[in-house]
Amino acid sequence: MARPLLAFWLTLGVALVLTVVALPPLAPPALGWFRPQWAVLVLLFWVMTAPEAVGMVSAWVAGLLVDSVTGSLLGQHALTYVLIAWAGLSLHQRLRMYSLVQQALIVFLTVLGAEVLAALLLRLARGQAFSLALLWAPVVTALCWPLVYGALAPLRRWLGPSL
Amino acid sequence: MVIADHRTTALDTVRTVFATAVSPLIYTAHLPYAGLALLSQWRATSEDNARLSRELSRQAIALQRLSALEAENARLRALLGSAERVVGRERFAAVIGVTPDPRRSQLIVDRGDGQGIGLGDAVLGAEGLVGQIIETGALSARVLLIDDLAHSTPVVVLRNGLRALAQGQGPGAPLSVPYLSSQDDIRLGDVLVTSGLGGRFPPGYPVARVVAVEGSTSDAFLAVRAEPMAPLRRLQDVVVLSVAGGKRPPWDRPLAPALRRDES
Repeated sequence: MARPLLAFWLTLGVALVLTVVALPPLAPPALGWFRPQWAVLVLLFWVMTAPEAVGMVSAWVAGLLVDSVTGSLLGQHALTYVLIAWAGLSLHQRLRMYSLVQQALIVFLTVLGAEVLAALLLRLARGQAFSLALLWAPVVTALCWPLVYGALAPLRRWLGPSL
Repeated sequence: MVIADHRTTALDTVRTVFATAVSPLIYTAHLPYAGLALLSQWRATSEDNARLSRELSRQAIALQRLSALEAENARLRALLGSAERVVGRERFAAVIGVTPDPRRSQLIVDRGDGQGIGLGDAVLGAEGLVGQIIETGALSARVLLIDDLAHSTPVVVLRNGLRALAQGQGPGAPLSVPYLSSQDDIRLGDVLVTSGLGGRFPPGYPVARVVAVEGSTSDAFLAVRAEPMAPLRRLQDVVVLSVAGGKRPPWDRPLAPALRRDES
């Protein structure tokens, strides 16, 4: 119970570092659109495989931490992460049965939803125009899912079976 | 919560707590770059040393003239009876992070609350104005850059003192200078410096250079673009200008109550 939660926070820490690690100074700012959302992947993994330990409260705090490292409005990621955790929790038994490709598709839809919500919030908050470039993050994040799954699954197995 | 953070300052303390909590992560993310920088620095140090000592002696000579000018300036100001410009404390800070969000223009520097940096402090680079502090943690602070969509800088044209605003248009895009008509005297290559109006930035620091002036006499307003002076994407070291004792600076004295408005 406590061990998956600890593992969640540790892996989330790694994900946060990956989230803010700087691009080379010469890279165009637009390259930022292609960043995978590591924290969403880690959150989805643990919600799916350890739903008794990692829930919506953890997701909310994780979202606040992401807000803080990315400098977005406090609560923006917290809101989307709670929604992601809720969806993950209610579907976790089905998600576990899916193949990696199907799971990646779910990741794509999840991140797309989160990005659209974020873009809406930004539009409301500061009149920022929509950019279709927001489609890249879901694609790249979905492509990274097998990677994250492959890295975390052995850790999950080592921690013992879930309920 | 999102609305509270956007509309009010009620969550500033929460932001400080979280910023402090995540700053070790940001320092960690910066480690590979710090290592690389250290390596290249190590190699470049000796030639830099020679170049810098030459530069230093040149600057020292220039400075002698400056102190004479400063004294003269003070005398003239005394004659005019106007207040002397007081500049607050300067602190050097290194850039340790940038926001991963391509829609925002922000930096993170390695000085924070603990080193006396406060919200609203002006951030300067060697070439010109960089931005202002919008969030502080114990060991780090977040800088909103002048090219962010949410940032406007009150400026004057250095050549003729024409007042204007330089609005950010998003990361990498040139600033927009709105509300100028074709009667206004603004040309390509004009340098915009901070005007000091609004009180957030001390006057006289270079902000941007005009790179495009479009529009004919029949248009109501000109479309003026200006490229920031400071290399906002390649900054490594900045200076944070804090107001001494946390008091509002003398240049923030309102001209009239109606004019007193926080910019950006």
